[in-house]
Amino acid sequence: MMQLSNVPKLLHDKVSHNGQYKAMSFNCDGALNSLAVNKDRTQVVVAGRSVFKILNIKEDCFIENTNLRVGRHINLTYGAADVAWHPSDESMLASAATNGCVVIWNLSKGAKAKQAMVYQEHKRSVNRVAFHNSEHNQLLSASQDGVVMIHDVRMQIPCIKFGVLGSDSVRDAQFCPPSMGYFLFAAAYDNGGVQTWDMRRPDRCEKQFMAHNGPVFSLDWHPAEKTSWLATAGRDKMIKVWDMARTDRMALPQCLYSITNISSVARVKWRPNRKHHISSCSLLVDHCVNVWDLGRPYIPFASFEGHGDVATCIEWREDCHTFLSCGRDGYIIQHIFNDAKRPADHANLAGLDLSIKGEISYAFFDRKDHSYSSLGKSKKLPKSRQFTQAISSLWVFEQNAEAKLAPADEDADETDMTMMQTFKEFAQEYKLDGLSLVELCKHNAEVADFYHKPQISQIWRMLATVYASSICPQSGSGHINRIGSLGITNSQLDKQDHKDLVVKSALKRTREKDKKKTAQELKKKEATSGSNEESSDVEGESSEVEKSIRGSNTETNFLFGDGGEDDTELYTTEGIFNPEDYDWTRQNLPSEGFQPRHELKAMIGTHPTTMESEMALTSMLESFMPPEANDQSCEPTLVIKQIHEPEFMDFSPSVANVIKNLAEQGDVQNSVSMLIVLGDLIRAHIDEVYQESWFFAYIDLLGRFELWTVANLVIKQSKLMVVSSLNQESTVIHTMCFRCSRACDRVAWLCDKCKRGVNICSVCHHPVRGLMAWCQGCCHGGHIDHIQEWLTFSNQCPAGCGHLCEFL
Amino acid sequence: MSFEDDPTGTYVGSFPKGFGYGPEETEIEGATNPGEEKPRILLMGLRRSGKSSIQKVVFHKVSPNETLFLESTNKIVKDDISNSSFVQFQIWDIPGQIDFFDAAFDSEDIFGGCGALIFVIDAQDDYMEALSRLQMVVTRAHKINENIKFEVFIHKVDGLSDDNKIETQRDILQRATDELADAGMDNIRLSFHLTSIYDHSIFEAFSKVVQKLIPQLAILENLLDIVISNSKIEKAFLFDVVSKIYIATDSSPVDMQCYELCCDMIDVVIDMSCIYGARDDGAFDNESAAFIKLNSSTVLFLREVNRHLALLCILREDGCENRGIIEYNFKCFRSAIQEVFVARNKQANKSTGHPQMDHLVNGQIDGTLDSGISSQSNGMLGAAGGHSFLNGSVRRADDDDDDD
Repeated sequence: MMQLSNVPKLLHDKVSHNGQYKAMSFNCDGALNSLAVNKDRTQVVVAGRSVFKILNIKEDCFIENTNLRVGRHINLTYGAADVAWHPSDESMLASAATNGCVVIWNLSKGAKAKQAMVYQEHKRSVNRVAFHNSEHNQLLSASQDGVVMIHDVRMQIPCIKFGVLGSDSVRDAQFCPPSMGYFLFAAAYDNGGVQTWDMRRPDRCEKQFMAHNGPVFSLDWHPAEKTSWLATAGRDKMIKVWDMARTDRMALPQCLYSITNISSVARVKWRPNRKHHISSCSLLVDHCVNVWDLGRPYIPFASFEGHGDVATCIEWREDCHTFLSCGRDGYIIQHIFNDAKRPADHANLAGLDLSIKGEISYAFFDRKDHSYSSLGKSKKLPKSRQFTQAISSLWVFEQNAEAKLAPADEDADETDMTMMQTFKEFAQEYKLDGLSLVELCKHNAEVADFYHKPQISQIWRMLATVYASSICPQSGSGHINRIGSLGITNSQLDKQDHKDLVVKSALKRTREKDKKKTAQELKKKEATSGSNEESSDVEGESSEVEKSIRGSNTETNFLFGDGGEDDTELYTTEGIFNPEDYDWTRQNLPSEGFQPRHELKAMIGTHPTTMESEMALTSMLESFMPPEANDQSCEPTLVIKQIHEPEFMDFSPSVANVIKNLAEQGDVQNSVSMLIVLGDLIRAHIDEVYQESWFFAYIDLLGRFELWTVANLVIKQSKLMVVSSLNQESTVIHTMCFRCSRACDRVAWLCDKCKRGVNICSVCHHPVRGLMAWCQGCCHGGHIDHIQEWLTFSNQCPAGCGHLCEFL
Repeated sequence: MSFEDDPTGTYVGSFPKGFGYGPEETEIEGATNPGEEKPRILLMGLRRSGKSSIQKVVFHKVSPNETLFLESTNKIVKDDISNSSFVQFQIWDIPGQIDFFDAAFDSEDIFGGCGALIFVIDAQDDYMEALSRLQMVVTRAHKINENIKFEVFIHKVDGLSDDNKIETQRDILQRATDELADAGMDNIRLSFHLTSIYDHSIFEAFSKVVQKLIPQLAILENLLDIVISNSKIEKAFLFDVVSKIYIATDSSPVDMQCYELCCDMIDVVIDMSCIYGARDDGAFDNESAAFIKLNSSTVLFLREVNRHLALLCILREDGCENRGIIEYNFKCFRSAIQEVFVARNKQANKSTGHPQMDHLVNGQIDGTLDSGISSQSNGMLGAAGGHSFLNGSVRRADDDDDDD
């Protein structure tokens, strides 16, 4: 990892360890603002408020050559905010004084008379002086007073002014390299703006744009040919690179790159011969000189230490491996690129973050690719653009598998949750009892799917999967038990059901086919974990095969092909009959009785029918008797479930968390439903107080939606004392005699006054046994079938009392 | 000084007396010049753009959060800021709904004596309407008074992200200049500032506006430059203590943190001297000074120039070894500033309203000084003379420094 950035360093810097230049420094005894080198780079002039010196650059040291701050009357013109060396005339310097003077120095003159000329046009301090690269006698000066001037250094007075006196201060101004725009220069303003001017048109600027938020302190044109880039830096801690290609006059330049620094940037300078490298120094805090690669705007490519205070000016040598810098600490330092610190080497190559949704993303460096392929498409990119191609990985971990949802769905979920739109449907269609746990879960998942609640549906499915293997012994027991009983009873019904085959769903057909093929192997499996089967269903229809199957189909189909409708039927009929019995069977049947192998086998060949249609099921269930008899008839030969050992893992705590989470989201319906379905498996993991409050909340809600039946079921299914005792309170029904309208106190079916039974059917005038329906308004009633029949043609009381009866 | 001296008071300033603003009754000499008016700063913009809030926060020390409760202004509110000899102006808060074509709106009168026009644009709102209004105001005002400086405050930027800020600024600048160019008024220059009352940007922007109205700014900047280079000071501000706007700083770039630090220091010093100070009527007098060392090896140094102006310096710890030199340089600086006052007041032929300065005016008439500085404040050719004098006056400090 650590070598990652060392490799490109060696690669594209080609730093010779015994280069011709050496790192060296010199103390000038006073803060330095600027430096400039002469054209053959043998001398450097350094300037500050109290320093103005010319140094000779030797191989391994600086030697002071001349001190320009001499004379009797040293005033502000002997200090400088900026200094520039004439590009061709070795003896000419220009300096910018803080009192608004631009001073031209002639070094060939005597010691006390070196100030050749002083321009005093600027009203406030001058921030920058610069010579034109080709027109060597054109001197640009930028001042606080908002004016940029171009002086001809050969002449005393005339100069050209750009800008309005008293407008925003100009912090920097630089001539464009002649290849791009011979007459062009750019100026940086205190208000964050950058303007480009044509030297020939002083009346108005050519382009003006907002570059920074806050003052712009420095700008630099890219030195390379045909790269019309302008780098600007400002107080907003940004370095920005603008494409200044002059296509359309009105179009604003585009920001190509932006680099964020840790503090305000005082100075920027492009690194020569490296198209994408730029050096910068800070105004405060950071004492380093940083070299940035535009491709990596967050960590400096190289960083040079040495200054004890902020650096103020940078001057590169031609070879781009050496540069001079001066700083407020009074030192001028020659830096060698070889000595640079590489902050990227110390950067942590792994990243970790948490999203608000609880997802964790983790990015890390994967493996190093030594092929050094260049970034971008072209293979012929300059070497400075080459990087080691690093392969990184990004992993996003989600908190819960079911939490993965399309955002839209999630929104919908949330609104639904609050709007309770599907509450009623869910309450009515959820099954809480009567099937194996796995089937219940799957059924409920389908219900949730149907109402576009993928998250809820996913939870149900997950529960089904989680408990399918581990709970098999218990849940499977009831299931298989039923298989046995149904298998026996349906034999006499198969004939009439034969015609109903047409209504079978395609899915079931395929399932049948599938199962038939693998009938032999399945038999064993089905006995124990049959309910798992569904997950491997093959979808798709093949009616031809179906036909051939029809004749020889097996009972197993019926047993496992649990459509939603038959289940509902089953449920209701069961409720009418004797639910306690059924329940008891399911829960407490001894495991030895679960091996209806022989029955199944026998039926496979002999009863070529599928018992799936609703009618079949309903009629079957009418003959559905307590299953003990069947169990006894079973031969306890195979005890496969013990052989089949599922990997047991305790998911209960996480399931408990899911349920709690649901409840916290306000979805008490699903959490209660899950509690009921999972029953004892999960109860121990959740605090009873919570459970009670959820139950009460759900029951209350059901009451408000007038779903009394469901509420009663929920109460019944609850294993909590407090909840289940709810429907054992105030259960007394007082009856009233329909003749004398007196309450029957002693027994409900006999009026003490009339001495006659009150359970006389108003239609057939026989006493009613079993279910009786009666109108609470007039107390008349009778057999439920009769009353139903009666109500189809009349809504008046069958007794003739004239009451418009309401049977609930 | 040109404030009203009538004791019965046409004084419009709303500062509490304790702040030290307003006329000092005992020292008034009644040299009002009815012919000259104070430079005026107009605050304009659409309604609810934040004009009154700006004025309250900057000049009345209202907490930014309390500006929520400001009622909308329905007539022109004139506010005198006559706190120091340099910062003398009136702020006119012009309600956004005012109709320029109304006969009651005397645009000649309003724009005539106006030094700067601040147009406030709500950056969080749709600014198209504001821009067309800006264009109308600018052309109208420019017709009447060509010397008005137009400042556009892109206000309420605290609600924008950094990228959004610069984008908004670019957009507004582009549209505003385009519209002006279309109207053939491209000789008008607009200055743009991003401001918010919840940070110091509004103070900085106002500082820049005020600085443009101070003709002596160049001299002050120069003086500060000289002081800091001779005293090893990193950065110096000349603060108006009450409003905390800086009326001058040296020519090195202003860093926002430094500025905020100085503002905080002024708060600390005012609080301290209000609690423990001897005087009842105001926190500051001419001898007020404070010296705060920070743990970042930075030292903050405050000296009172006069009752309303303070010099704040930021220097390194090693730079303040010789406080005597700083003290001496400061004295030179103060006397130089007072000479600038004198020159200005001589030119205006008025009393300063400050006893010390009056004393200077009366007692110390120096012909060369007078000519030098007054020509300076005229702002033209005599710059060299002024500078040479100033250099001379502080060179003593310089020499002293060398001796040490």
